[in-house]
Amino acid sequence: MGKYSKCIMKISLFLGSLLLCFGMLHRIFRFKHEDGIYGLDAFYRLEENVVDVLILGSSHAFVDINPAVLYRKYGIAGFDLGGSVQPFWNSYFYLQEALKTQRPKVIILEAFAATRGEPYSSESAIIKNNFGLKFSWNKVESLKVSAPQEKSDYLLEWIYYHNRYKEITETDFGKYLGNKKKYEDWKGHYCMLETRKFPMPMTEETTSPIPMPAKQEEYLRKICELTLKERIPLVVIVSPYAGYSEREAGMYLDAQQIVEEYGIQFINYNEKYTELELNFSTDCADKGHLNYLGSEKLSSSIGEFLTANYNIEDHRGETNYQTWERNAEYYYRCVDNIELGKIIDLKTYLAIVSQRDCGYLITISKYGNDEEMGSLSDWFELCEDESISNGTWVMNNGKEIFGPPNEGEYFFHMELGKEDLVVRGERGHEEVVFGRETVYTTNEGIDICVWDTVTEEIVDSVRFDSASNWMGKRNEGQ
Amino acid sequence: MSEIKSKINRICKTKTNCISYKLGQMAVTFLLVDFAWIFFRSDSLWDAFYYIERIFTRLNPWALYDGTLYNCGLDRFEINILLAAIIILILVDIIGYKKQMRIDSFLQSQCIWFRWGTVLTWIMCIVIYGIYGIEYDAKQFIYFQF
Repeated sequence: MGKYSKCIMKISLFLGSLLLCFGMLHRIFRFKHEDGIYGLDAFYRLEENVVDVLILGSSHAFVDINPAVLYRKYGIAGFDLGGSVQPFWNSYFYLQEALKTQRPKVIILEAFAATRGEPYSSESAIIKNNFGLKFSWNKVESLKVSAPQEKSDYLLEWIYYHNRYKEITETDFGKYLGNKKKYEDWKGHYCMLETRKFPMPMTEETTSPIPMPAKQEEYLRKICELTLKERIPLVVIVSPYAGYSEREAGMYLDAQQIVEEYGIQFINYNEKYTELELNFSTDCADKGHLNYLGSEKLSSSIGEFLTANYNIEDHRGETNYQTWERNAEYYYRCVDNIELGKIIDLKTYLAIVSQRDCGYLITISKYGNDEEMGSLSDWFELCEDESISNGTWVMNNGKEIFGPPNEGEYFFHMELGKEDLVVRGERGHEEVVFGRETVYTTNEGIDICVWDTVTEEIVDSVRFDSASNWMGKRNEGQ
Repeated sequence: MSEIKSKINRICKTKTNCISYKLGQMAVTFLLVDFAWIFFRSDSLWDAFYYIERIFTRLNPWALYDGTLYNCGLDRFEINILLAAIIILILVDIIGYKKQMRIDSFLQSQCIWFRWGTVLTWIMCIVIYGIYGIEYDAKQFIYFQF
């Protein structure tokens, strides 16, 4: 080998190693927002031509429309492809990006952007709505319209996140944001669990349109034209929300008139609260978004509309759509866990966590409370020594896997997901530790800590005692 | 200046040919530079005198232990990076002193894995910890407080 070719080979190898290192750093350091960038990551992982309903838009789209509900109830393979405060111009480029690999049967565009007047997005919105796109001309164009000309450095993403070194955690290193169960089959939905009460917004029919911002109109038209050109039906919707105002209603009316010029259907769900059976006391997470209960109602209504008006296949049970099945399973399990966390009656609680196929692993500690719950064996399948009435047990799917010894100190350990469960101490003075945190220490009464084997996390820790009249008590934040 | 110093040394009969004398010289230089920085960083001469006065009248050695230092511009993480960088700098100096060669010559004499590994690590450290990007104003650095 000649001297020059050896030199060129060395330089190439060095540059290759440098690029490899940069690639690794990029993967670790890049932003991984669930409300923008990570949705695209999940989208890129999909096989080609599997999405039947593509849902575009801002958080109003990916919070309020739940693909898990669409799939479980109607077998629709939907995907939420959006970003926080997403303007129509980003939805347009997202649509172009999506059409590179998918050929949806229907596209749903949520129209909250029609009310946003800023000609350029905020820095946070620019990052969340652009940084997830793979590098292509489409991304360059998207950034060009998202940020003013003097801020053209968004293409050099690295300078925006190289100083994240102080906030890097374990989740930045692994795949699926450190939560494989949730994100491996995730379909872009951002589930809001909290509930806030709001009065129902005004619902009178608006007759005078208010012009929507010119740049939003330009890209709304482009989206309509693109879907017409691609011959994919587009439905523009407005998701219901508590902050809906008369001014916004006027802008939506303007948007409606624009899309109807193209013969495209427009549905404002703020005019259908009764039909949706939406309750603003129980179904809102905040002024702009529905919580999981409201989202289920809206998604069900959209599912019914889609099945009634479009020829969309029911994919339930198909092997190609296992990821949708698992996504739905994960979501509904989370809902079950929320409901479990609301139960305060001891016997109702025990009836659930003691079932043979409940999917829960629990620690249960009881001291001096036989009359309240009866014998432990009334609920759980015990292994051997049933003479011990007080102590700490570990039960998996209603069956004992650990019970306290008659006397002396003891130590029980088992791995749960990436963490460890430890029960230690002696009868009457036990401590239940998960990871590095003490979940509870035993006391007079009944303590239960619940680990969900599906979502792989502690989903509840509750205490029943005579002081609270045997009504479940939970720590703040649980 | 050196004549005055020699005179003081003669009067005090200070031993100058020992390591403690050299350490003393270093400490005096360090303190002088520290005091000079007070004048550089203060808004006015009077502010500088005020700071110096407070060093002696409001002595607070506990600030070294209660975490106050981490609120002075560099947090705990950045101080750790600084310490690691100083250690590397000292190692490079030691290599230069002991081997009587510059760091690039030293690296050249090592095997390719070590050489490339070191260079790539340094490049990555600069890329990660470098002061650049959106929150950094180059002009502010160049004209830093002058």
